[in-house]
Amino acid sequence: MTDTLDAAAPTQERRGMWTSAYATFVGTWQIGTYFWIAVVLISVGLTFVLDRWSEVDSSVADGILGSAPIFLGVMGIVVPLAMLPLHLAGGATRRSFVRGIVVAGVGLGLTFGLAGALGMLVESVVLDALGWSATAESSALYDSSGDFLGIWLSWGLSSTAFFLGGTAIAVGYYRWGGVRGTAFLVPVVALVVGGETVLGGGVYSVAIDAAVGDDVVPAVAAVLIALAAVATLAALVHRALRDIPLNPSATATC
Amino acid sequence: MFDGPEPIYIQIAEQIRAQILSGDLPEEAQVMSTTQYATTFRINPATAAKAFAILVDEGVLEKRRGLGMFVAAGAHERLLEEHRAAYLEKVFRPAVEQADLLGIPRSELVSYLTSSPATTEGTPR
Amino acid sequence: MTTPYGAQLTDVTVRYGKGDPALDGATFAIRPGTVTGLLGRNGAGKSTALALLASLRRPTSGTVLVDGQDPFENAVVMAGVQLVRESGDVLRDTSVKETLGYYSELRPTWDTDLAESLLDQFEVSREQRPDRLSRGKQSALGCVIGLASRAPLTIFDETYLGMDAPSRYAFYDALLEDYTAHPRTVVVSSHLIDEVERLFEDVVVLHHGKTLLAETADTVRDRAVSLVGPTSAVTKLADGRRTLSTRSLGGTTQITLEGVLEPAELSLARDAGVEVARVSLQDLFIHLTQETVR
Repeated sequence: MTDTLDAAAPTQERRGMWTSAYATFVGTWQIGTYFWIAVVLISVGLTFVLDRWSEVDSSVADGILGSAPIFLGVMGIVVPLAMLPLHLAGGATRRSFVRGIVVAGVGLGLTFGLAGALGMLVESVVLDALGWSATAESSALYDSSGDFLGIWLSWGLSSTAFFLGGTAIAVGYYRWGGVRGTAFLVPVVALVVGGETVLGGGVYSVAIDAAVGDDVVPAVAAVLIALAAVATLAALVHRALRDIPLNPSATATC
Repeated sequence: MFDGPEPIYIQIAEQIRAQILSGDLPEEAQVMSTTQYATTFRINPATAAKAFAILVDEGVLEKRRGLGMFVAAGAHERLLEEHRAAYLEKVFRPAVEQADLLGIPRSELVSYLTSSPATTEGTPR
Repeated sequence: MTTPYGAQLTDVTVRYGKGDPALDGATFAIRPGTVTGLLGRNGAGKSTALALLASLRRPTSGTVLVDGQDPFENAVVMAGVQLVRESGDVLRDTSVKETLGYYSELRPTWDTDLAESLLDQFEVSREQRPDRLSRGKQSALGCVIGLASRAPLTIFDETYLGMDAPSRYAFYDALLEDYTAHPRTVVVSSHLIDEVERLFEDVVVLHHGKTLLAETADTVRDRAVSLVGPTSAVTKLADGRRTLSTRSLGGTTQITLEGVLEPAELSLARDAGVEVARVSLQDLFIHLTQETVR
């Protein structure tokens, strides 16, 4: 090894950030690959079943591929907390860890969003070719009928928000326990659900669209609001992690 | 190994002196390095280094730059001189005192000494 | 080359919630370049003190310095400290390879060749998940991480307890070999004092969160001496000195005294047929921490 500890602090911070970002991104995608295989199989299977006994008049994949943000939320709960002790024991700072998690969250959002948008694109092409018409449920930005960029952006931002939200919740409980952890959870959930809804996804947007119309929030504003939600979630992750003490390990004798 | 009441480095130094005296470590011979000593006896290298430092001070060992630690020329003779002096004081005198205590006459000690066979080659001076 | 780190805890207290503090005003120094033994009974605060050095947490009060600086969130200082905890800070559910990869990416001083040869030596599979390794192999993995880190301050916290005796001795040998070739500061906490006491240059003993002693191992060994011999002679020698323990059997008595014997006393003892021996660090530790049991 030719490197020495003369390396300045910024070098170390960068090293820590990219190491945690890479490990989080790759680790999540390793499991994520199984997720995508599963959702594609389910989508295809369900499409055939519906075609056989019913009628395909809207996207089948929408609801299934759309669970990607939820999956990332779970990964956000599991992966960073599993890596934190290793990161600190490896002599890297919490600061670099937070940055790495945020970078990974953005990367995961972009790639999961892209995968989802591609899935939707493929489905609409297939449905078109078979002469089935998928009607749009429609919302401001996100439209299951096949606005590729819209779906990518919408699912991508939601995915990042879910991932960071999952991390914030997990770290909050790890650090503060039941009561304060739950108090910390409230704004996190509000930001995640709010961001998703304003982007036109999630369980509430259909109802809200029905009540107030789906063009209330212009697309650009929706994206900006979602970006602000993601930034706030990143700040909450930072808040929970920036000076987190590692609990004494359960097996150690102290 | 090294269970005596003295600090370990003193015991190590004593052990090396004994090896030189007995001829197991001839003059000019290389002695184990600090590292070898540390790993062989599972002791802290600083402890071994301390023992070596004492022996270098005494002129028993000499450090050759880049080569290691060697038994100094004349070390055997010097140790022999020291131990001879110490022998009379520390071993022989208590033995004589003990003999006095037990009522063994000096003449009997002398005749024992002159009649007992030498245990090593060479004659006592 | 990197220079070994020293460390200093000054009046450090750490509280976890309610109850007695884990550390209660502890003060001690780790001299750079030494192998220091950190001893203490269960709950004495060893792991907590080591967690402070590795910036795993901050003290409730008091100051912690590593290489002269507050280590907490200090990128350069932290990069030079490797703490190996018994629990093992590893990625439990992916291969050993992944964990080592993470360390090698993070650590500027990591030695991949050393890690590889130690994995072979301890027969730790690179493909296995850490949580599926036997306890001994998990400990061995910790030893590999600690040694290969080449960190200027490398800390082993009860790391090798799960290993069998041959593996432990192989670890001591590997540690000594690497330590002499690449000088650094090593802190070892262990309950197996007999096995490791000769590795120590310095010894720190914690007791109920306080520093019981912090001095060179030679000084510690001079704290007590054991006498075995005829009861009358032994008691005469012990007269006026502090006795740590006494055991009698027939006319023979074994006494552990505080302090050392002067040369004159030594020859007196010899003349009286009293055997003078050093007290092992283990025994001394038991005496020291027993007498103050609450």
